[in-house]
Amino acid sequence: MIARWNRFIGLFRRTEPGDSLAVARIACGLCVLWTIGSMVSAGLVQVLWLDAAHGGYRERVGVNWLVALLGGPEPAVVWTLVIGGLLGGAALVAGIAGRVAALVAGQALTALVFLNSQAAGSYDLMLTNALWILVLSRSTATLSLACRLRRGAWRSAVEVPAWPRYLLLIQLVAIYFSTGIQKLSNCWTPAGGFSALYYILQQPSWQRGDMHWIAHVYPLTQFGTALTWIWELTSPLLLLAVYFRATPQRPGRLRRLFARIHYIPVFVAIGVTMHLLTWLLMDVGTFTWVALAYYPAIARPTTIPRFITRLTNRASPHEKHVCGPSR
Amino acid sequence: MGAESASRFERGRWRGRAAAVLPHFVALYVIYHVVGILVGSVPAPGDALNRTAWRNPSVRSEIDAWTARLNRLGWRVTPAELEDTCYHACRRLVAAQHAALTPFQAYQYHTGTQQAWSMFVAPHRHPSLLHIDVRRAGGAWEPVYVARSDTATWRRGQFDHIRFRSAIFRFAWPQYRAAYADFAAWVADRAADDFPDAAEIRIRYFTFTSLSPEQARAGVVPTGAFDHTVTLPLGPRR
Repeated sequence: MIARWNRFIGLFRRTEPGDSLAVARIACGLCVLWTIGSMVSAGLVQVLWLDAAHGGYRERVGVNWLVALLGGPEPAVVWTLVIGGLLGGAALVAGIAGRVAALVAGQALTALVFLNSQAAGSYDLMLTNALWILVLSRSTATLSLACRLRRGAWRSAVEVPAWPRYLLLIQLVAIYFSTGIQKLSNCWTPAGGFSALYYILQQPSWQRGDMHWIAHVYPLTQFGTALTWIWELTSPLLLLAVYFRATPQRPGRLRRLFARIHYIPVFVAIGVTMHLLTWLLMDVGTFTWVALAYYPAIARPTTIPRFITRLTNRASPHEKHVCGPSR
Repeated sequence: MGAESASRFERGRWRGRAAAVLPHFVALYVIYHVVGILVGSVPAPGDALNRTAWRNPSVRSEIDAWTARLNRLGWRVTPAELEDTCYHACRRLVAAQHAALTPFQAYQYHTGTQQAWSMFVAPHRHPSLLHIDVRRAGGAWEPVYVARSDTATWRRGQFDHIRFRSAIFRFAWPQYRAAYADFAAWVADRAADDFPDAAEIRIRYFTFTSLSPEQARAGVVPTGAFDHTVTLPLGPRR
């Protein structure tokens, strides 16, 4: 028992390059800027996040602990949260004050969204969950202004704890699996002819434009429905696949099968295609980008640094961008 | 000098001990966090406890489809019986989840890590489209905003924003009647300013049945009816 616990504890001593978490941090920061910034630019802050006495449509808005602590849903409080959220998002993108920026952005967004649950979506929770994991991680170790100021280079080879990346992965799988098992409608199943995506795309609430043309490619929507449903329901296999990938030296038929069918690249390809098509065909806010912000966690810890090195070397072949760890 | 190096040694020893113990605390915290995620992610159909939501035609057609399917499989059940069974199962599930979530609720509430992942659970086969019209004194109704229209585009930048879309989608459901009344009053206040010569405003939904692929290919026009109609005078709001 103690030996098993100690083996488990080894997971929390494991370190790896910080690039995956850094990319997730930048993506989350951009999503925060978009989700709050678009409310400001559309003039909707007072309409959706303040009560009727201050120009909102709701007689009374919801108040979470932070808003209550700050003095209630007054315009000054709501605008403080808006500005705090925007500053937190910008700091995340730039990569300064990593944990504090994630905490400020996450708490501001949680409080704002709580003000009006009628104008919220699951993408908000996806974002606040990711931000909390960034609070727990050293996401500014590389690809950040903090790194530039500390080490004189934008990138660093300093290793960071790996467990926050595992948390991102577990959260992503929990989201996909949970949404998969809730798709109980007849239309998601063979009994309903796998017609769910077709009818979802006919719902005017989320349409970008007229979608009658989709009837001419109905079999494609049926294929997409079946694929999405099966892909979500089998998403926990991703955790197994990541474990298999990390332990290739061990024996096992299943491990070999996963490697042969390229499970992880196929999973990522389906996920990215599904999210991009959703964004192309439907207005679902930041959903696509928040979901994709989790994807760097799927990559091998060395894949993203290698990719960035290749990219930066191509851009400026004579410059050296990465600093080694300084101890 | 000797005392200083001894205290440095002592500090280093404490730091070493802390570094050895820290992963155990982190592990316990991560276990707690992950169990919270998993318990929270278990589907809890909270909305299903509101029986007015079951009157929605999309929900009714789902119940009818499942009743037919279960009868084909040999379970003799009527739509009303199935609805009751589902309702009581939902109540039990929500109660069980609530109990299981108790140790995590305060943590998730304060950290923003609540879980609710019911996304596109079922297509809405009877969607509703928001229509807003104004009428000048003695004139006819003029559409000023129609969802997804390129001609009636009053305050489109606001109504078409994803967050307002979410709210407008909900207003067509019976459990959001009160919120819809608030929304209608807010719209009327804005219209009173933006259309100074208008006497009345009418806010309503056009609810229709989505066309099947065969109907859409044949060029059938969706049929439906207006409901949730609210008409308000604008004069008193100026």
